[in-house]
Amino acid sequence: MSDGLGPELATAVALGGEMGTRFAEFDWSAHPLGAPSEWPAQWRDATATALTSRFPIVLWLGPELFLVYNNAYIQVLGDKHPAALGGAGERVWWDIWDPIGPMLAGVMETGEATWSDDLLLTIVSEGRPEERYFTFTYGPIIAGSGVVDGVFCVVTETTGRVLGERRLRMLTRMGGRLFRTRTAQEAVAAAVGACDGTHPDVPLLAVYLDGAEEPGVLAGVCEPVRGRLPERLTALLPGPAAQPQRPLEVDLGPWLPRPADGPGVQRGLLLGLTEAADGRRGHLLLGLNPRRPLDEQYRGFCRLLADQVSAALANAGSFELERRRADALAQLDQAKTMFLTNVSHEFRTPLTLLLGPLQDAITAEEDPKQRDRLETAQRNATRLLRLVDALLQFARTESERADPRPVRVDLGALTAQIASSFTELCRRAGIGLVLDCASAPAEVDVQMWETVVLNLLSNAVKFTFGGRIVVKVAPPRDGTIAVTVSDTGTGIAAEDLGRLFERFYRADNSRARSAEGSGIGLSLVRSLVELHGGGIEVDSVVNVGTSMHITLPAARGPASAGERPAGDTSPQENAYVTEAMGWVEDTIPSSVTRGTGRPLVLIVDDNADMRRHLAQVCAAHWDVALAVDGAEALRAMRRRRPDVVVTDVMMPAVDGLELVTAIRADSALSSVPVVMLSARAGVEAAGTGLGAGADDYLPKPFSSADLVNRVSARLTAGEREHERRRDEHDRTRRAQAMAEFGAALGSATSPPHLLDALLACPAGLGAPLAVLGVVEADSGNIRLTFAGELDAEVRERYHVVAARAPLPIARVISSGRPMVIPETRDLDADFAAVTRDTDAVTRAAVMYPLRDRTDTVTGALALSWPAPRGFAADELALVEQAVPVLGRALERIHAAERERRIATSFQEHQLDLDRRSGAAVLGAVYQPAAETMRVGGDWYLAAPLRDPRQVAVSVGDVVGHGLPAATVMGRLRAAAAAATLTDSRPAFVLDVLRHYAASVPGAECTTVAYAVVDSASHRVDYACAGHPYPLLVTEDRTARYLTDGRHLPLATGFCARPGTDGRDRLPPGALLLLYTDGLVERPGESLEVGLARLAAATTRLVHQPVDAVCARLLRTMAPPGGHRDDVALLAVRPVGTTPTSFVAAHPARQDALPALRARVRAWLGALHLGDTLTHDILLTLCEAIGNAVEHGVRADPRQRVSVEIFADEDTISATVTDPGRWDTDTAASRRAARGTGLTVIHGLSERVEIARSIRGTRVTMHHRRRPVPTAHDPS
Amino acid sequence: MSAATYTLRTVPDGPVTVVSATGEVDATNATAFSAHVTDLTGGRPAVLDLGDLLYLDSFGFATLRRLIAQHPVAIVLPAQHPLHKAVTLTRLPHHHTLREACTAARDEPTAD
Repeated sequence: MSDGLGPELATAVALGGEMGTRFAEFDWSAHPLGAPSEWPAQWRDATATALTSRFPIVLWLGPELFLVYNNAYIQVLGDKHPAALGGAGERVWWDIWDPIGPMLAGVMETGEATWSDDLLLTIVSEGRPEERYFTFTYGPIIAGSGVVDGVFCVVTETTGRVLGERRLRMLTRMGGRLFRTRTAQEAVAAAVGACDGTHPDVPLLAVYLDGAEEPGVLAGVCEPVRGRLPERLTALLPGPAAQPQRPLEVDLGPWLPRPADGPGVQRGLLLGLTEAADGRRGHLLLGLNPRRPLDEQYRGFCRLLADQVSAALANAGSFELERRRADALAQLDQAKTMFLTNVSHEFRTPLTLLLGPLQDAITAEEDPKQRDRLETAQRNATRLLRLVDALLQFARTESERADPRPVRVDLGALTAQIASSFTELCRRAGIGLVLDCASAPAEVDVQMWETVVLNLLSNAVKFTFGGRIVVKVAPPRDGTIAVTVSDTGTGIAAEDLGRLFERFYRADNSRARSAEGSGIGLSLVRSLVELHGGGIEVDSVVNVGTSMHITLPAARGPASAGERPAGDTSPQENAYVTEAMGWVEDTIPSSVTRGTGRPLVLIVDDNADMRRHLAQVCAAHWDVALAVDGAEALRAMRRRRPDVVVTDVMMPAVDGLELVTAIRADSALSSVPVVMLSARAGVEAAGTGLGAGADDYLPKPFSSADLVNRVSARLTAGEREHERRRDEHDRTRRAQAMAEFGAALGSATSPPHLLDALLACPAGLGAPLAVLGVVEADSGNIRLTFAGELDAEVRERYHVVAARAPLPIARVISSGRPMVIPETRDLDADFAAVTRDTDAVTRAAVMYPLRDRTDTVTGALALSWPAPRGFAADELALVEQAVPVLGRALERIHAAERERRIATSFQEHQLDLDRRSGAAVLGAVYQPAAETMRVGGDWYLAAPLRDPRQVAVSVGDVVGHGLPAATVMGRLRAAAAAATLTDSRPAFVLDVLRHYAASVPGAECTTVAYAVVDSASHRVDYACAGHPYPLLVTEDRTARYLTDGRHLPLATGFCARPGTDGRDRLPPGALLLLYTDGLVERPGESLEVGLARLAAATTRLVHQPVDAVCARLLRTMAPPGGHRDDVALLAVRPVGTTPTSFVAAHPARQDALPALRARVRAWLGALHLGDTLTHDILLTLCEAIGNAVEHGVRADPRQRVSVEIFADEDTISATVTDPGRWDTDTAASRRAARGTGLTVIHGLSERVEIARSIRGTRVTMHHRRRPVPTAHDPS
Repeated sequence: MSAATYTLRTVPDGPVTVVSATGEVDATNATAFSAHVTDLTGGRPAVLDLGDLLYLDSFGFATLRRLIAQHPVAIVLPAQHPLHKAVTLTRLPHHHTLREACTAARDEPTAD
């Protein structure tokens, strides 16, 4: 056959494995496509590509889309292989033709390729539909004619991944639901709840658990199949065999009818659940996806689900334990009944003794206020008596010692009479009372019946807020009498109905007039009714009403006139009504706000008497507000925040515990102390209250004094207590923040670094700006360091401020007290200036003093925000905690800085650069070698000469390091300076030094460079005693070393031969550099290399101010790891002008400015910059000089301010350098109008650079050259 | 060394005196300049025309600010003047035309 293939296909089939062979052996001659050797080239190419590929590829050839595919595609075909080869697409893939047919047709028609990602295709395999997912592309096979005559498909099956992902989601969901279930019941509910019928692999889920008597009872089933699965596990099992231990596939067909539109769930997998804690076992039934085979992965997934449920069941509480607890409770209950019986008797006597005298006192009392109090006492004593009686009666019925003494009565008349005592109460409560009592003879114990009716009525009133209460006694029918008490009240929730008649059961969360009640009323009613051979039922709809239906046996025969009419109003009946009266009466308005400025106490109690009593007690000391329940209390608190809340625990709607929880959860209220009152005595009850967040717990009864003491204590301790709790709450967060902060500070080496670290950590409270004020030891001024967002002008203005400056930060430092400023505009007028200056960046701030070890205030830290804001106590606490950490880090930095300064101060003092000369501007720098004692033998020197156009400069190097060398250096330098005063010529000065050095031990081999700069004749005279040559760089960027005037080093012991002077031109704009060899020498490198490097580096700096030249050279010339030797460097630029540079040494006097201005104006005029730019440059320059004169010359008017202006192609850069640090109050200068100068400098310059160092302050203003606009002619 | 120099020229213009300044005003002569202007105007409504002024520094701004706060003097400075940027930057109240300045000066209460 292969001979009908052609050579390329022959090779491909040889490489194509099984499909290669099948393709070759296929009888193509009988196929509509014919022999492959006759196929179009593109088909043959595609076939060769497909067969040799290891990726699943299928070709659809010709209009019928005949299939040709490779080995890897066999898996996709399943049982369609090998019949699919050469088959027409629609016949082979009939099962998925609906989705793919149109796609293929589209490619054939348009040639546009398709792309499908994770497409679901339900493929029928072995007669069963199977859900599979594929990612594939259909691309056109294009004939030479340009017509699409086939489709090339590369496909990959993603079923495994898709299924894996969705099963993992299910496991996660199940785990999430089972987590925290505490009982088996909860676990089962959670498990079945996880199955909502939407997950294809868990279409249904049910749990069977072994019951107490019976194994395998349905414990839970998911919603979609609720009510359809059998109740017994055995019904699912194929035979009578024992419960399966291994996962068992079961047929669910009998229970689940096959849906019309698909296969439906017909099979399930039953998996054993491992023993739960109580020893019970169970099974998990999972429905199986009808479109997926139950393969290993699927089984594994089911097993994992079962394991999850098992684990939850194992964790669930033990049923055995529950049972034992129930037994214990029953015994306890019995004991309680006994106790109640006994105690109630004990209560009755004193209460009776109390009520008598009270009644007498009320009758005799004339003072209405006093009587009011007595009546309150009486009402509540009566109530207590009623409760005791009820308990007693109840206890009797419980112990079955109740002994009804039935008499024959007209139940209708009796009931009506009892109920009518509620008429007035209902009227006041705004409820209608309808009595519909037919005559009905019955035999009842009158007192017991009273209890029944009064209880029911009192309940009805309690829960009814409108509408009516109907008491109906129907005439006897079939030997029974129906008595109904119905209301239109809040109703009872369905879940509470079943337990309504249980002892002590009290439905929660219902709205009621009162939360008072013992929970025995209805239980007692039922007992009493049952004692009479009757029954009671309830039906109720929430928010509609409740009806109590009592049935009693009717007495035979008609009711006779002799039958006992209802007795007179008993005290007991009074007690019910009296108590209920308390719910509807409220003589004190619910809020008493006197506005006296006293602390406000909010009293929350649902009992009107108690509320009134508490209000009376508290009103003597504090303002009082009242609320009848938690909900009203919260509303009141949000209107006006009380200082203390006194609340009852049991209240309708929102009770005391919920109230406390709500208060603690509300950030605005959480700090309000709460005192809880409750009749529930005992440690446990107190624990509940305190656990909920109450601050104190006062059990009833309590004396007035007790209450006042507790509330007073809360008022004073409230804030403290709150602090403590909040501290605890925030401690972890703060500790972490502090740890981060501490770490960040540890690596900070300068105050700005410290501030950056603070801003980056939580203790920075997200502030965009931080300010550090440090008191300067010598001047007492405060030096401010800024970090974050602040424009340069403000930074400059508030660079140094006087200790008494009207700034908040100065106030913090002087007072030692922090300032919290939520809104800067609210600060007093003292701070008006700074507030206005910083209004754009600072509208809120917090400032804290920094203290050293001796508790002296050394500075202050400020955080600032651009918008007003409040500060929460915990935020402030965080900053407060950060401040000492910052203070310590600052101390460390200052100590390091001091150490460095002490070490260099000697040198600095020695090397003070004299800037009195008007002949040149001078820059100098000294850097001690990295590893030595930070002092050394290098010097630089500038000496003004008698001729003001001349200046002598020198750099020298004494052999050795450290203090000995420094001492020698000091002496030689002083000698050089002195020598210039006699005769400044180089040879002479070096000669003097040589003679002097001979007498100074340690001066051997000292090298010196010396030069006299003459700015008038544009000349430099120089000489070097064994020293590296001075470097001269002219403005055209040519550099040369001055190699004449060579002398031997000093004190070499050789016979001194007078040396000669070197002389060279030093044109304006040129730069002369004197330096020591430490700048150029590197180990293992010849000096020439170093000198070449220096020359190259300096030519790049011809238009830099001398101060910047020194700083840059020191940096760029440093070998990796820093200079090994001391370095001294002196840069000199003679005064004078060139077309592109203007250099002046300006006297430190304001009155010199006009002359300078005239010169600069003339120089600028030649640049044709236009009036405006010229003026801007002039103005900014003069303002900067003015500032330098004012702040920078250390009060020595002989010092000069350096002015260097360079005109480059794009910019004019003007630099003003002064030797000071602007130590005087920069902020105060605004009073002298210099403050406006800063505004001008920053406002008119393109860019302002400020460099401040120990050597002085350098301000560079850059102005961009602009095309000259039409000149404005001021004349 | 000497102070900066200026000259003042007055042109009576109805009820308003117009004082034109030329030269330079800086820290060295700002106080004298201000006093000079006050002398010339004598507390009457006046316009100080800075259109021909060559130089004015921050001391000058501060002094002028005080001057116009205490006297019925309005400053005029054309918007295209080289000084204008700095004057705007320092928020020195001024007018762009003589007419505006005259109106403003007239409307100001005369100093006692």
